[in-house]
Amino acid sequence: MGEFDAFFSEHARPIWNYLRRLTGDSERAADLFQRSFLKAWTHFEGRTPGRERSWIFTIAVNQARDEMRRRKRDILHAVPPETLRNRAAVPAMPEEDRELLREVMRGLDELPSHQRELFLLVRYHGFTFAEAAAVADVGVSAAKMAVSRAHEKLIRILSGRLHLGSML
Amino acid sequence: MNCQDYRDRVTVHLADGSETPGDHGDSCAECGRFAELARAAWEVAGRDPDQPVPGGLVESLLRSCRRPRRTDLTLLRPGAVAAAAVLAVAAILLFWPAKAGPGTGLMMDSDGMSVERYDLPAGAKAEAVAEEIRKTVAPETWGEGVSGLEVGDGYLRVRGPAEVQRAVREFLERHR
Repeated sequence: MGEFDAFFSEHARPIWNYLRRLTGDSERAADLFQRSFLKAWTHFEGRTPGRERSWIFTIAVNQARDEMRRRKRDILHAVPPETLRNRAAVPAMPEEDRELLREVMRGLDELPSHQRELFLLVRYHGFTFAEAAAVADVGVSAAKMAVSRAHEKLIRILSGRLHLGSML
Repeated sequence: MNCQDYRDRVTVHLADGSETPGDHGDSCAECGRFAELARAAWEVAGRDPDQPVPGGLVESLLRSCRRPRRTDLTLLRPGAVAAAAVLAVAAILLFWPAKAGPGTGLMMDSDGMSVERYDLPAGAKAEAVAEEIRKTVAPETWGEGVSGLEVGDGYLRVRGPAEVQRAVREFLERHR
């Protein structure tokens, strides 16, 4: 198996899911997925061995940012309702849990993009704060702050869901 | 420690365990409740299951990656480009999905023009191997620009029709 094949096999699924959650839109995620891996393919010889995961995530984050700049509007306003329905279509989950997850994911969509970038890296992909900060090109403290604010948003949603009132 | 410090630490602790939130939550009822909700929210967010990459997307991407990288284009000569493109498209249409053989990358088509990378054994002198290939493996194709051979650090990259790729592979196996 070629090196790029192995690289692609290892990282395709995480990158797909990262972009899917980041954009909340399968079509945009597909476009960014292709752009990211084509960029990786073009520059594959220049990668640093052993740091491929951070490398491809950095490419994906930058592709998403470039796309946002091109669209000149925040991802917040670009999430079609249908995507949210698709995203939360988890057949094995009880309806009540599914509804809760749908709300949480909607909350993620409403986060500022830099918070969402970092929260997804840490929550779903196991990045440490230092790693996530490097990928997003921010300081570690800023990364912690962004993830904390994102988390607070989700807690607020859960708090309302459980009829506990606003705690924050 | 104030309430906000505690709450930030709760998140960091849940995320990577690098900070302990401390015992502020024991003496502050709101923060104690916050910590419970924080754990629950963290867990609920994690329930969103990973999904497989759509098959059509993978195929489309791999098809794109079969093309030479920009740096590989130095291998091409103008006269051969059109013919190579026609052959490559025909091969993709006829044989997709292609089955890659041992030691080949995803750029390989089952027929027609393709670009393949051949990793050389440690210590092999890539320039010398390339020179020998040019002399002994389908020598007419290199001179005519039908095939191209690029020397890298520890590898060769060959652009050519399937028979040339096969001959190069056999040559390297014989001399391994």
